[in-house]
Amino acid sequence: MTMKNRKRVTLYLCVAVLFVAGIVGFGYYKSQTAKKKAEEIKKNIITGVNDLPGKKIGVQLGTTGDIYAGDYEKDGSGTVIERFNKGADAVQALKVGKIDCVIIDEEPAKAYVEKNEELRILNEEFTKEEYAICIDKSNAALRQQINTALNELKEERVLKQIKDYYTGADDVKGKNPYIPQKDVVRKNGTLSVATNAEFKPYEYFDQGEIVGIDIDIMQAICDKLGMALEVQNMDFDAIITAVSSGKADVGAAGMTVTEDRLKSIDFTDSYTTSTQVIIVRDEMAVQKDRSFQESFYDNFIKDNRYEYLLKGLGNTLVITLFAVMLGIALGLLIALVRTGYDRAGKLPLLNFICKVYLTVMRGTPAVVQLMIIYYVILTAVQNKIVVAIIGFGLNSAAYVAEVIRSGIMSVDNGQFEAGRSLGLSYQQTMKSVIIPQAIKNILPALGNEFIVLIKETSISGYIGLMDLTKGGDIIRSITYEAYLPLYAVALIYLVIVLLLTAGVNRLERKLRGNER
Amino acid sequence: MEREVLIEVKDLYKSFGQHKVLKGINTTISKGEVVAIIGPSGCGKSTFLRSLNLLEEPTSGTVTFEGTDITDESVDINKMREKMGMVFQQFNLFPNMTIRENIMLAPVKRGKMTKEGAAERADELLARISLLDKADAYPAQLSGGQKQRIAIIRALAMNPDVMLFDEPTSALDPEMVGEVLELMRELAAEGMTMVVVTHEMGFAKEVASRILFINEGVIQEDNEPKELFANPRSQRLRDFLSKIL
Repeated sequence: MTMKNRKRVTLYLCVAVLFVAGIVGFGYYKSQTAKKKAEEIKKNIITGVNDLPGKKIGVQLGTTGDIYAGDYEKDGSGTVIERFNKGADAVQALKVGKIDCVIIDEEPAKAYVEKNEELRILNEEFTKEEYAICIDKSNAALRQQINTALNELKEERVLKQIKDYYTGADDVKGKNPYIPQKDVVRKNGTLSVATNAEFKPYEYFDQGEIVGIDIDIMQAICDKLGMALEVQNMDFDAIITAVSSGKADVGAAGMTVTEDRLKSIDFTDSYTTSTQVIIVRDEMAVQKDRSFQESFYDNFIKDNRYEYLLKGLGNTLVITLFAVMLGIALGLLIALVRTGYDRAGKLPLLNFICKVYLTVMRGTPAVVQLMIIYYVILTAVQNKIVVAIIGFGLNSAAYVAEVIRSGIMSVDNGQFEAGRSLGLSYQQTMKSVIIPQAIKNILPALGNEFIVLIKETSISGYIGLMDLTKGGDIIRSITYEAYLPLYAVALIYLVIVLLLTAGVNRLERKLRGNER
Repeated sequence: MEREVLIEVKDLYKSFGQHKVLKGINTTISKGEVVAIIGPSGCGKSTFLRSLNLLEEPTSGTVTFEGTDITDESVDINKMREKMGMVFQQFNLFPNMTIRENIMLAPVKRGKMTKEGAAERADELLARISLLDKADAYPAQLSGGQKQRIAIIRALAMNPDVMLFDEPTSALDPEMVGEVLELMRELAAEGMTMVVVTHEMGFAKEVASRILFINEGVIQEDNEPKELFANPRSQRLRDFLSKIL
C-alpha cells in the first residue's frame, strides 16, 4: 500500500515537473524565435489600404471588417483572411506575427494600441460605418419605441455625454458618467440585450461587470421605456441568432447595418458613426519584456481578475457534476432497454429509438449539439447553466449507456440464472445482482467519462456561458496576453483531472477489496 | 405405496437452432424421490434439468409442477421457481454480497420473510453446515466446497419442494467433493425431493432411488440403481458404464 502510494506521488511529481519544464522551455524557445520572426515580419509591412492585397488580414468573425476584407479574398491576390471569435485574439495573433494586420473598429483599436506599445493604427482609414441596435423583424412596435427614445436621448445630449465619458477628449473623458435613473417605475418588463463584451469601449468587462457605451445607451433607453435592463454576453456571431430566436430582445454590440444582416434582422436608427481602421505592428517600437511577476499581477491579481477563473471553475464543476448525474441516470435507462432487448427481445420499439439516439449523439460533435439545444430546441430556457447541463448530460448519456451495457454483458450469465432460479424476477435480478456488479466492472470507464466530460465543457463558451476556459479568455481579452491565462486554465484542468483520477482509483480499490 | 406426483414431463423437445438436443422426454418425478441423471456429455441431461424450472424454454411439450403447467405463458414462473431450488456447477454465489446477504436476498425480495427472519434463517442454515463463522465473509474468501454448500443452503432458504442439482461436484477439487455429497446425502435422508445430474456413480448408486440414463436426447433407461448397474439392458449403457467405472 505505502509502496503504491509512493509510486503515485512520484508520478504526480513527474507530471508537475514536466509541466513546469514545459512552461520554462517554451518561454526560452519563444525568446529565441522572436528574433528570427521579427526579420521575417519586416517583409510584410503594410503602410496603407493599397498594401492589403496578398497579406494575411485578421478580423473579428461577423464584423464589418470581416465583410469588407472578404472582398480581398476573392480578388486572386492570395490574400488570406483569418477570422477570430474575438478582436483581442486577432490582436494577439498580430503581436506574435501570425498575421500582418487587423481590421477593426476605431474605438476598440485605440484601446488595443494603448495597451500594446508595439502596435499602431495606420492614418489611412479603412471604411466608415454606422452602428445600430438589431431587433427581430416581428418586433416593429419595440423598434418604434427605441427609435423614439434614441431621438430624445440625442436631443437631450445624453448620447454625447455617454460617448464623451468613454472616448472623449481628455477634459471630458471619465468625468461625467451616465447614472441609471432611480425613480423610474420599471413596469414594462425586462429588455434582454445580447452583446459581446470584448469590444472596448462599446462593451467590455470591468471588474466582473459588463460596461461600455452600448450598455449605457441601452440603460438610458430602458430608463425612457420604463423597463429593466438585462445584458447577455455571447460571441459576436451568435447575437443575430439569439435575437431572431427570441433568446434576447435586441442586440447592441457596435453592430453595423449591412445588406446581408438586413435579410434576417431589422435595425433601429443609427446611434453612432464608427470608423474601421487598420492596426499593424510598429516597426519602430522596441519590444519590452515584462517580468513574470508583473505579468502574473496583471493577469490575476489586478482588479481581482482571478475571480474570472474562480467563477468559471465553479460553473465548469457545477455543469460537469449535474451533467454526469443526468448522463448516468439516462444512460442506465438506455442500457437497460438495450440489454432487455438483447436478452429477451423486450420492447423492440423503445430499443430502436434508443439505437437511433445513440447513433445521432455519438455521430455528431458535442458543440453542435449544444448549440442546437440552446438556439433551436430550448429557446424558452434562459438559464444557460441549465441548458449546458441538459446538453452535456444528453451527450454523455449516449456514451455512458454503452459503457453500462458492456458492464452488464460482462457479468457472468450464471449470476443471472442464479437470481432467476431463486425466484427473483427479471427486474429484481437486474437491480440486486447484475447492476451492482456491472457498476463495479465499469467504474474506471465511468470515471474516465467524468474526466472526458469535464474537459468537454470547455465548449460552453459557444453559448456565451462563462466556464473555466471562457474565464481565461476574458482575462486574455483584457490583458492581451495569451501565455499566462492559457497555462493557468490548462493547469487547473490538469489538477482537477489528477484529483479525479486518484479518487476513482481509490473508490475502485475499495469496491474490489471484497472480492480478492 | 403410491406417491404424490411432483413433476410430470410430457413429450419434451428442445432445439438450439438446427441442433436438436431433447427429442421427446417423458417421465414423472414423485415426492421424496432422489433421481440421478447420468449420460455421456452432450446427451442433453443438463438441458433436461434446466427445462424443469424453465431456465431453458422447451421447444415443445409440457412440464407440470404440482399440478400447474409451467410452460403456459400465463403462469407466474417466478412463483414456481420459488419452490424449485437449483444448484449450479459453478456455484454462482453473488460475489458482491456477504454469505449471509447471499442467503437472505431471495426470501426478502420475494416477500417470504422479513429481514430479521431471513437473517435468523440464514444463520440457522449456516450453523447446520458449520459455516456460521463465515456469515460476514465474501464468497471469494471461501473454498470451492464451502461455496457449493452455501449455494445449496441458499436454495434451501426458500423452503423449496424440490432441489435441482446441475453437476454440483464437477467444478470441485477432489478433496472437496466429499463434503458436498455428504450434505446432499443428508438432504435425501430428510426426504427432500432431488433431481441430480451427476458423474458421481458412487453417489448415484448409494443415494438415488432411481436413475435415468439419457442418451441422444431421450431417456434410454429408467431403473433402480442396483438393477441399472447390475443389468444394463442397452448396449449404449453398457458402453457408458464400462468407460466410467
